[in-house]
Order: sequence, then C-alpha cells, then structure tokens
Amino acid sequence: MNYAELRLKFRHFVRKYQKLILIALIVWGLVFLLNLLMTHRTVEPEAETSYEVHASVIDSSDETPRSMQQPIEEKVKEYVGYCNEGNYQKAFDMLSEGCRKYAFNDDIYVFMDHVLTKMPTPKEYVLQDYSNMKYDKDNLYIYEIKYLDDYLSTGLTNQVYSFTSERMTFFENEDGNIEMNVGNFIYHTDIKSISENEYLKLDVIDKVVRYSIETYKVKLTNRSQYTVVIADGEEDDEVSLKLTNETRKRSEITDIVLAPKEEIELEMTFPKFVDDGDLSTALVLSSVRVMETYSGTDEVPEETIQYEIDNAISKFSMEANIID
Amino acid sequence: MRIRSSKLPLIILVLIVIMIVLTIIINRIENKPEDYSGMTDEELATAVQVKVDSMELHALGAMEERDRIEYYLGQFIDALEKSKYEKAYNMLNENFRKNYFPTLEDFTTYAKTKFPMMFSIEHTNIERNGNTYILWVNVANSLSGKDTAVEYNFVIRENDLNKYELSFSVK
Repeated sequence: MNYAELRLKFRHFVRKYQKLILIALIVWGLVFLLNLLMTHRTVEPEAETSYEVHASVIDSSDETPRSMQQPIEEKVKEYVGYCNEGNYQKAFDMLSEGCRKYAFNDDIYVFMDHVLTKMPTPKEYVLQDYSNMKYDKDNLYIYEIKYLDDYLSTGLTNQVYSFTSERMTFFENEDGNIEMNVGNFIYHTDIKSISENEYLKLDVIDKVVRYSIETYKVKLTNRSQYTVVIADGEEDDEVSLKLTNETRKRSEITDIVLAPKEEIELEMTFPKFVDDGDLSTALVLSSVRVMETYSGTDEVPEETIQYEIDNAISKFSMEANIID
Repeated sequence: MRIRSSKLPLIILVLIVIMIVLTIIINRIENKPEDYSGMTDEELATAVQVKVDSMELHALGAMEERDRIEYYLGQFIDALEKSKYEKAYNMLNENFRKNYFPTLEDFTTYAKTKFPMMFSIEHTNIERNGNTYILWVNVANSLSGKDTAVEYNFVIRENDLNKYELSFSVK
C-alpha cells in the first residue's frame, strides 16, 4: 500500500465516523480538564474529631435526618436559653403536651424544680444523639444533653469537674412540626387491659415511658370478703414486668395488701431502657394470696406468717397483657 | 452537523495541542520553586513561617484527636519554657484572662513563680465535651523529679485546626 492509498483510506475513515470522532474528542477533553482540576485542587486538612452531634452513640451509622438536625439544635439552644434566664414559662411552653402533662403534671412549679435540679446556675451544654427508635409510626430521636459550667473561663480553678444530664426526645407531630420532651420522658400510652377472677380484678390503665423506667398506673379491686395480699415481701418476684426475653422486678418495696372489698389505684415502676430492643408484654402478679387471717409481716413470728400462708383460701398468679 | 472532513484532522490537532499546553502551564505554575534570592530578611522569615505553618497544619490534620489536643498543650508549655510569655498569654481564653490575669504582667509573674522552668508532664485523664477538652495533667519540675508534681487541669477548646484557646486551674 502506498502513501496515496493510505491517505485515501484515512480520509474515508474520518468521513464515515466524523460525528463519533468529534463526540469522543469532546468527552475526552472534558474528562482531561476535570482530571487536571481535581489533581491540582488544594485540599485543606480538617480536624478529625470523635464528636458527631447527630450520629447515635448506640449505632454510629444511624443519624438523625438532615432536615431535623438544625431545627433540633435551635430548639435546644432556645430552651436552655430560657432556662438560664429563669424564663420557666417560656421553656415549659416549648415542651410537648404529653411531656407537660405526664412528666410534670401540667404544673410549672414541678417543672421549675426539675430545671433547678439540672441547672441551679446558668449552664453551658453539650448535645449528643443517643439512640433513634420507632414507636408506633413515629420516629423518636433521643438525645443526651449535658449541662456544665463554663470551664474554659475558669480553668476548673477551685472546682471539681462535674455535670448534670438528661435525655431529650424529638419527634415530628401530625403537622410536621418538631416536638420536644425533656426530663427523660419518652411517651405515654393508654393500656386498658383487664385480668380478673372471683377474688381480684387487675386493671392496667396506662403507662409512662421514661428513658430507663416504665411506670404503670394500675387499679386493683378486691372482690372478696377476705384480705388479698399481692406483695408483702414473703414470696419472690411478687410483682414483675414480663419482657420478650426476661422479667423485671417492681422497683417499689412497699406492701400491696387489699382489705375486703377495697379498691386502690397505684403506680408500679420497673427498670427498663427504652432502646434495649426488648418489648414489655405483660404485668404479672405471681403470688396473690387470699387470706382467711392476715397478721401482716412486721414483728410477726415466722411460724405465724407461714401458718397463715399455708391456710390461705386461695393462691394464684394473675397476668395482664400490655403490648402496645 | 456535518463537518468538512478536510477540517477535522486540523480540529483534532488543535485540541490536542491546547491540552498539552494547558498541562505544561499548570505543571510549571505548581512546581515553580520559590525564588528567595531577592527577598529581604523579613520577607524571607515570613515566607519560611508560611511554609512551616502549612506543614504544621498538614501534620495536625493527620493526627488523632487526643494527640492533637496534647500537642496544643505542648505548644503552651513550650512557650512557657522559652519564656515567651506573651505568646502563651495570647493562647489563653479571653474570659479566663479577665478573671485571673487581667494583664500580661500578672500572667508573667504567675508563670515565673508557679510554673517550673523545665516541665515534666504526665497526662492522667482527658474528657471531651463537644469541642472542649478537659485534661488532667501532673506537672513537675523535670530537674526536681516526680515528687514535686502538682496536678493541673487544662481546658482546651478547639475552634478549628490549630485554632484553639485554653485555660488552666490557677493555684
């Protein structure tokens, strides 16, 4: 093949594929320029830190949605500002209705006591997403807030390093606005679960969930002519909360004893972390005793106590389902 | 769009030449060595300081968090050991200065009487609160031994890389 033929072949090739060749050239040129720019871009070093406000401590891959991050920070800043100023009413008004009612009895003075316990003097704060979870259809974002003195201004001179803290919860309401709970309050729910027999009626009315405890409001009705003993410390696990994987004992150590035909309403508290992945399924009264005679347990001989238990009219356990 | 095939080789050639020229120009600008020969002493000192600061910044960026905070404390102590009291004073948080050392003279007097000339330090604890770090440090005179150690708290707030302010527990 001579030079003229080669030239002809080349011209034929270019004529046939001219559009393709031009597109390829332009794309290659753009990639080339981009590569040039990226290679010579100056990247400023950044401070590596373990502090990520909106990454959950329990699962660092789980973050609060970006759309909520800034509003949460602003809400907290405003809330702490009001508390530091002593403007308790404005701070109280920022809380969700459930929090005001179930955490503070809708009482500004109860709220003030709480704030003064956490922040007796104006404080700085540090916010950290702790855990994110779902309740019903709502996403709850639980943060830990630490309140501390301005140690940078004092260098901890004549001071001991200390801080107070609480859990704050944020969620979106039906209108898409962000609501806030403080004081470790997470949510309230009605239960309305009843379990009963001829001697006793157990009515679990509602529960208040805080970060590390659950509190159940319960009504107990003695239907019999006898004393009904639910808890007096003589048996193991007299009152417990059944979870998916284990049971928890009631925190209170007070006796629960019903006189004939007596009806009482009381609260029962159980230790349980809201983000432990376990579900509360039932409230259990494991050693209910219907007593023909009952002398109590204070300064009563052990033989007498045992005699009365052995001669109880009835002994049974009772359980009320409480799954949300 | 139909391009005249006779023009296309020319277009290709021009594009290639432009890219080669661009690459050469950019590489020349990037790799052009600093010409220090015509600089005054002051300009030279500034240029060198800029280089040192840039290297320091990159080194800090590669450090882990705790090492970086301890480095900042090290800078403060270094300034004290070299009697650069104004430099150390300027590292202090403004409110802290107002509270404890309203003037440079107050701080200098304190540093000369309370801090050793040669530091021996032992880090015993560190707590992080946001971008503020609290350090527990045993400070001893390295010429006198560990028995002279006094525990200090140092509080360091890192506002950005190599931009920090600090305070300490005044004895």
